[in-house]
Amino acid sequence: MKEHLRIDGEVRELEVSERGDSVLVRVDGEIHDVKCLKREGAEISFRFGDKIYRFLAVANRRSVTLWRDGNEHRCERVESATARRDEAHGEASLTSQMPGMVLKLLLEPGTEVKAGTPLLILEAMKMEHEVCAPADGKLLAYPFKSGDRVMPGDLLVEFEAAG
Amino acid sequence: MFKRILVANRGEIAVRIIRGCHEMGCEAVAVYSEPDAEALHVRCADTAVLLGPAEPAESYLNFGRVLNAARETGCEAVHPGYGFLAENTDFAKTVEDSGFVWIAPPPEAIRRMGLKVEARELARTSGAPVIPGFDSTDANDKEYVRAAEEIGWPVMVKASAGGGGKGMRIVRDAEKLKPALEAARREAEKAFGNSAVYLEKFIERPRHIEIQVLFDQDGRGVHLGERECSIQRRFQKVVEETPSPAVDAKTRAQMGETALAIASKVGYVNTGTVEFIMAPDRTFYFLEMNTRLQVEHPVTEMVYGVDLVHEQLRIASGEGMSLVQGELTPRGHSIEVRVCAEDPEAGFLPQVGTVEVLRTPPGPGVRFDSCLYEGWEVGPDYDPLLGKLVVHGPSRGAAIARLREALRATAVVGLTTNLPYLLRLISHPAFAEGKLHTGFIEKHETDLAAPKAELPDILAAALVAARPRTIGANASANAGTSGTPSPWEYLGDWSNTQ
Repeated sequence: MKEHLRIDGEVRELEVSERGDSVLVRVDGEIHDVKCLKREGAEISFRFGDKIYRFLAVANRRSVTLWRDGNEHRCERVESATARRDEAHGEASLTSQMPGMVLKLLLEPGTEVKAGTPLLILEAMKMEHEVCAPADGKLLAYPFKSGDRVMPGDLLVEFEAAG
Repeated sequence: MFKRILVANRGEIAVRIIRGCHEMGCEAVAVYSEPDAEALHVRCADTAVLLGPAEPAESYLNFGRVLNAARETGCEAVHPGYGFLAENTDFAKTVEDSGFVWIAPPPEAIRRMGLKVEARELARTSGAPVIPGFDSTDANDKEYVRAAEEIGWPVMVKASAGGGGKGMRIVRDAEKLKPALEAARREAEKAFGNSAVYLEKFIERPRHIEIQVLFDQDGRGVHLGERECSIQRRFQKVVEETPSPAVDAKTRAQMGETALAIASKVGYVNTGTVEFIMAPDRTFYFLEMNTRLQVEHPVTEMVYGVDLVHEQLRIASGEGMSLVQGELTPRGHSIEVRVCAEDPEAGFLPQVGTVEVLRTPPGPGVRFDSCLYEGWEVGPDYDPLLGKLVVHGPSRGAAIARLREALRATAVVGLTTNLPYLLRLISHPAFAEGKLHTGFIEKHETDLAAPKAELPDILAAALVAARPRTIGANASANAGTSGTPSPWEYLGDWSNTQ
C-alpha cells in the first residue's frame, strides 16, 4: 500500500513490505533494506545500508517528530492529492498555529495583494504577529472578526493565490 | 542572611533563584498559578502557594496575593526575578512598606530608569553619550513626523515604559510612521499600561552591548564587564556572550565607568544592567538601564566566576557583596542561547505541547538553566522562554565549538522549539567571525532557514523502525486483512501505546 508523507516539508511516496527480519522501504521508487535493532521508549536504532542510525521518535496527533544530533525532522501524513496541492499554495501558513486572539483585520475582502502583504494581526502569548499573504493573490474573506479567539488549525484568512 | 525568601516568579528564572537561595542556606517559597501547579519551580521550592488563575492579573501580577503568600509562609524577603513585578515601582514600594526586604533595586531607581525619557536625561547629566532623539511623549502625529525628519530616517519608535522588545518599531519613512506609532502605543498600553512613545535615531548595523553593575547598600559599585547581545529577532535577544569581540580592555573600562556613573545618579543598589548601542565605528551611546537581574546574567557568572543571585542576597541582607573591582578579572569566553517554544518554520509563532523526551547536554563548561522536565506541558499562558543553554570555554572559538556540541546533544522533543535553529545560527561563518550587529538574523535569514530534507530515505526508515512490532514479532500478522500495512497504521498503533 502506497502512502504519501511530507518529510521536512517535501512530499514523498513511501511503501513498506516485510522480508524475513528485514523491512523493505521503498521511498520515491527506490528500495532500501532496513534492519530494526532497538526500540525503547522514544529511542530507536536501525541498520540502513552499512550504517547504524539512532533517532528519538515522538508521535503527536498528526505527525511524528524524529530527532538526531540536534536536528529535528517533522513527518506528516498527506491525506490526498488535493490537500497536497492546496498546501503547496501556502494555505497552511494562513492557519493559526496556536491559541490566540484576532487583533486587527488589515484590509477589505476582495483586495488584490502582493506576496508578503500583512493581512491580519494575531495576538498570541502577549505578542503581536502579522499574518501575511503567502503569494500574490486576492483576499477573499476573514472568517473571524477582531477580538475573536482562535485555536490551532483555524483558518485566519481565506485567500486565493493568483494564476 | 535570610531564613526564608519568597520567589515571586515562574519558569526558568524562578528555578534558578530557588537554587541560589538553597545554596546560600535560605528556604525558598514558590508562588504559582493554576496551570503551573506541576511546574518545576513549584517542585524545587520548599513550600509553594497558589495565587490564582492563569491570567497574570489574577496571579503573578497580583500584589495582594503575592504579599499574602509571603506573609502566610513567614518570608522575610521577596525576590522578583525578571518580568512580571520585577520593575514595578508600586509593587516594590508595597513590599518594603509591608516590612519585607526587596531583593532588587530601590523603588525610586526602578521608577526613574523605567521611564526611558527620564533615564536618557539622567544619563546626559551624568556625562554619558546618549542617542539623538525626540523625547516628547505626548506630541501629535504631525510633530512626530517633523521630529523624525529632523533626527533623520530611519528612526526607532519606542515605548517610554518599555522593555522586552514590546512597543518598538523601526520606521524608514514618514508614511510608515503613523501605523508604527499606533501599533507601538497599542502594544505598550497592553504590556505596561502606559502608551507613551518617543523617537530615537536608529543607528544602522549597531551592536547591543551592556554592562553588568552591582551596588552595595552603602553605594559602593562594581561592574562585571560587558555582554554582547547583538543577535536579536524582533528586538528580543537570542544569543548573548561575553567578552564582546568588539570590546577591548580600554573600552570595557570606559563603558564600565560610564555605567557606574549613571547608576550612581539614582542611588542604585543591587544588580542592574546599563545598555549601550555601539555604532560600527565603535562609538557607544547609552540606551537604557534595566533594573533587574537579566535573563542573560549567566554568561557574566561564567567568565567572572561569581554567582549574581548569591551577591543579591548578600547585598539585600546587609551582609555586603563579596566583590571588589580590582579583583574582578574575566576568564575565557561564555555564550548563551535562549531556548524557546516557538516554530522558526512558522514565523516563530509560540508553540504549546508536552515535553515527551528531554536530553540535557553533558560535559564540562556546560550549563542548562531551564524549567523543563519530561511530562511538563508548556501552555499558551506565558512567555515561550523555556531555558538557556550556556557554555564556557578558554576562547571564543572554543566556546562556539562547545556550544555546537552541546546543542547537538540537547533534545526537547514533543513540542516544537528553536533548538535546531539555534544550532544553525551559531554555526554560521559570520557568527564565528564575530561580525555581529542587531540586523544579523535578518541579513542571514536565507542561510538560517531549515534545509530541505536531506535524508528522506533514512527518515522514512526511521519512521518504520519507530513502529511497535518491528522487533521480535511478525508485524504483518497484526495488519488486518489488507495484507501489507501502511506505515501510518504502525505509527497509529505506536502512538496509542504512549
